[in-house]
Amino acid sequence: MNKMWNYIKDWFIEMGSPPLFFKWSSKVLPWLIFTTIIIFALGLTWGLFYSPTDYKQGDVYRIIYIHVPSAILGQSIFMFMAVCGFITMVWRVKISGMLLKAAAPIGASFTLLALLTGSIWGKPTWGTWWVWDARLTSTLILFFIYAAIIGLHSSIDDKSKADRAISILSIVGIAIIPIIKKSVDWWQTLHQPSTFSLTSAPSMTPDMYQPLLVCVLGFYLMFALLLTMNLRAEVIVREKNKSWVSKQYLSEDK
Amino acid sequence: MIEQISAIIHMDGNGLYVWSCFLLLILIIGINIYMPIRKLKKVNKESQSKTQ
Repeated sequence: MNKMWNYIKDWFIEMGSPPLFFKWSSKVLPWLIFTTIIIFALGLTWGLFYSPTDYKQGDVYRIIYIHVPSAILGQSIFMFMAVCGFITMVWRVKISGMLLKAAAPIGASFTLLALLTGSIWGKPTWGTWWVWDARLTSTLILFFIYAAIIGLHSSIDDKSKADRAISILSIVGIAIIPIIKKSVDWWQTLHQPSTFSLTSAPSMTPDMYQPLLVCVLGFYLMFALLLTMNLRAEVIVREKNKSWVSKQYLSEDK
Repeated sequence: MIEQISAIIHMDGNGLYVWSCFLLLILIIGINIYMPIRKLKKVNKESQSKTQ
């Protein structure tokens, strides 16, 4: 068992070494782009054009196909970053620090998108762009934590030190996730409870939540794609003075 | 055909809300795709000016 664990760990560390990561991600990237475009387009077309109109909200409810997946992504990316932060702190794996740094702007983007689309959805349904409601406020705090992580990393010149600093921030910041999740149950809010969860049946009809599931999958794939692109750029920027970059990457470019 | 398209665009008066969300989505993904490409271009330029 112990031997197997060591084998898995060694495999991960090897795959995560910058030159090897760059090599295998070059092969994966075209496939990832292809699958992401297909699933992403399928989910959005299904949701925006072919799902039934809501009896109460009319067509404006279709914002759900953008709002819910981006909110889910905003929180999932933070959890992913906290795991990377833990690995960076405990095992000092170089690539996990880079992963954390590469994921932060994507997480911030999707959290911002969730806030903006929520605001646009709020105007016709609640009659206001913004309320200082528990769900909205806690999501805004999540966005600020993302901003703090990005700012902190760029303010420290030594990149491995910067990685450790944002690791700590992401591990501590994870406390906001259960607060966002439970905010609709703990406090009286305008925001509706979760649309679907892993443990209970969805509160929507199948022809409305099926496209939503495809959208969520499409958004996750989009995250994987953007993360791979960001990480490749990060690896090249940090290792630009190493010989493998000029041999592998710059020669590939010419 | 044209009626169908205009119905999709208008969405009973809600089109502006839904399509502005869609545009924001495209904009945000576009920025996220552009940023790493810009970073790599910068490194390429630097290395080219070094070799010259």
